[in-house]
Amino acid sequence: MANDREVLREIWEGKVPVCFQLDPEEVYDLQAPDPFYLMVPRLSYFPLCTDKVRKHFMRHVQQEGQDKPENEMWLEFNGIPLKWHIPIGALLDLYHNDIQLPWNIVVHFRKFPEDVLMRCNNKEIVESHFLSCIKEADVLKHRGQLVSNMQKKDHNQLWLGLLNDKFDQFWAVNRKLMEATSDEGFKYIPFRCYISEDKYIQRLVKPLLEDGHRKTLKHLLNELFPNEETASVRTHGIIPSLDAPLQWLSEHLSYPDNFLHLILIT
Amino acid sequence: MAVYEAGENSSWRLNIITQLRDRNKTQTHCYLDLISLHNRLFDNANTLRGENLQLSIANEKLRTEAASGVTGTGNNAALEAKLLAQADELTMLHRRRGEHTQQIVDLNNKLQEAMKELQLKESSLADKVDINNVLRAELTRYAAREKELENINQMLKDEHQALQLAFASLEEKLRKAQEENRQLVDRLIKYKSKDAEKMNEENDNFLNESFTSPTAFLMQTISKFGKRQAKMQKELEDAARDTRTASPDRGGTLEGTAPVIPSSLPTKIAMKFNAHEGEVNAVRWSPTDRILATGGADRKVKLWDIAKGSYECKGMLMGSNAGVMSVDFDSGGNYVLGASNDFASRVWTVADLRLREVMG
Amino acid sequence: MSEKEEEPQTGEASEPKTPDVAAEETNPNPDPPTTEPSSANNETPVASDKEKKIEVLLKATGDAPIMTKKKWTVPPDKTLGWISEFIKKFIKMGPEERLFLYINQTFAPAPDQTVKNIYDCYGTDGKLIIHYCKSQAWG
Repeated sequence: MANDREVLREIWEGKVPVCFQLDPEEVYDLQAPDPFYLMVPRLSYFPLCTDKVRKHFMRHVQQEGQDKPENEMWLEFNGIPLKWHIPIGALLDLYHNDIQLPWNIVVHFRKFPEDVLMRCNNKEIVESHFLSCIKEADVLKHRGQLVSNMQKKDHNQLWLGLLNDKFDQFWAVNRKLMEATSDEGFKYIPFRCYISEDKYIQRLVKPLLEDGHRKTLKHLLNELFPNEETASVRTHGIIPSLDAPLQWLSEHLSYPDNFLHLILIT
Repeated sequence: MAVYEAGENSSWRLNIITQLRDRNKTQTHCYLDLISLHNRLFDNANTLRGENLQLSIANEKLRTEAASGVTGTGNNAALEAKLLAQADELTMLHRRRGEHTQQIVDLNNKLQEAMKELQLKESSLADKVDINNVLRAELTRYAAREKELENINQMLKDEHQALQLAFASLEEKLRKAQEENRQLVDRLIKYKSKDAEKMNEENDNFLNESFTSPTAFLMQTISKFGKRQAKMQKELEDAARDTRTASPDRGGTLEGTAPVIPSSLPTKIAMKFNAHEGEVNAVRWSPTDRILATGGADRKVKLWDIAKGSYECKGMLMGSNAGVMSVDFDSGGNYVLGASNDFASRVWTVADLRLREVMG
Repeated sequence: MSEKEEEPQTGEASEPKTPDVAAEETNPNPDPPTTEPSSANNETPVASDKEKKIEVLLKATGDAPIMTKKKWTVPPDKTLGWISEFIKKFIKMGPEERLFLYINQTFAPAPDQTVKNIYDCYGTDGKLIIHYCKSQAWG
């Protein structure tokens, strides 16, 4: 039961300023378009926020190929294509060292990097990915029983709450997913630990030690990286204390897809 | 569960919360207003740019219109041309419609005429059928009549034949009678000549007796003889003439062959009665009975039985439409024929007094 | 199957131990089964066992054609996207058609998820069962 509403609220309100600019080589007009500034929520995904960006920059791109699938918009930072299926907050943490706010992101319309990025033409793809992550998290937490008993309208409510930035609408359903079926908490803690931008670890980790005490973040890191003594992770732009219990972290600091996205600090 | 309650004073929780708050402060709040303002300005600029574009386009259009100097703008001209075309189409369609209605009217008229003709034909057909029927009826009637007439014809032929036979027999009788007559006349002539000779002898004797003047006597005797001779010749001629013109319907009444026979004219009326209301135009005796037929101006033919001084009306034969001028019996006395002024002749039977035939 | 992935490379560092043992709990910490000869080595891959391949069982769902060979061993660092392409080529699907992969008959992970991660979490009896389908079977 995620009942620390203050924390939840603070997490939900996280937004960062982004400056979108069009790739100078793709500019077709006489004059380069103005950069587009936008506040993007940490908890969301890029394809859900960038409609206006696309509309703004479309005008300045070569007109004929606008609707072709080859000319899908993709984002790049520091020469690296940004993976849209990772929440924006996780991306921020990944590139934390290089990012200065406002975050400068370059917008591209051509030469879509097929081998690195997945295609995302519409919001339905994002929705199915989001719901799939929720199901996966529920499999880890409750053997998948909670989500399978949910109705389609609950799924819809989760998605719409995220899409439209509605805290209460989202958490009305999500609190059920955050309920532990037993005193011990979730079965396993759903998390992803990013080592690099390409690689992340996902492992089965229980929230309790054998002796019944709750595990902390420290225990998790020890399990993942037994050799590193001073490992710590960043999430949501903060470095939580290593004493924080895993169960609490999972309930409160999970992203809307019910996963903890922890980025290893080297 | 208590183990999971995040106590207010857990250090890790405080740590996390402060970090979050700081984060939000630095990252979010500073930029929020700025960026929202920026976005607003951006949108305004975009809309203004769009309006500007539209206005410039309109401006260009007006300028080109003014420059070209046509009364209507290009658009208007095109619209007017379209309008003209549409109006033309409309008039054409109207005309066509008029033509079509005219065609409809004509066809209707033709239809009416055809119907009328049809009716006429039907009525004439009906008439013809009627006439046909009538003619058929007439035909049957004529056939019947023809049959009747044939029968009558046959009957008449039979009668004729019968009459012919009767006639033949009568002719035979006549011939015989004429033969007898001739013979009798011959005998008579013989007797007369004998008588004449005797007289001559007497005369001679007489003359011989009184012969004084031979020439006077001779002259007297010659003149007497001449007269007697002439008289004899004349009588002989008459008799001979009589035998030639003897006809059967004169009954057996031979008239005046002999000057010797004392003739008598009726002078005394045996009977007198009023036979008819008006004039009596015809009388006739029956050849067989003692019946008298009279025909009068009262259009009737009456039959009388005359018996020894009394008369009795045997019957009245009616049917004539005008006065009866002549009556006659047939040779058998069975039929009475009456001819009247109504241009018709009628035959009645004596026995039952019924009208048998109308002729004329 | 516990390896020490300290390095950010797509490394094949140590090798997972025999797959049959570790179905659920992957506890690299001192556990009774300590047959991890390479537990100490992080950087250098052990010469003896290279990345121990993971046994994968592919099951057809819906109207997808059944593969003649269902069991495969896959290097652990391969992604699900790679497996998806492999299946598509095997059952002769065109590149424009979409193939959906499901784990536990419940969810479809992102294509850049590694086989290792999925096997660590959801493998059963030493193999990982993946259901593939031409249409969305479980949403």
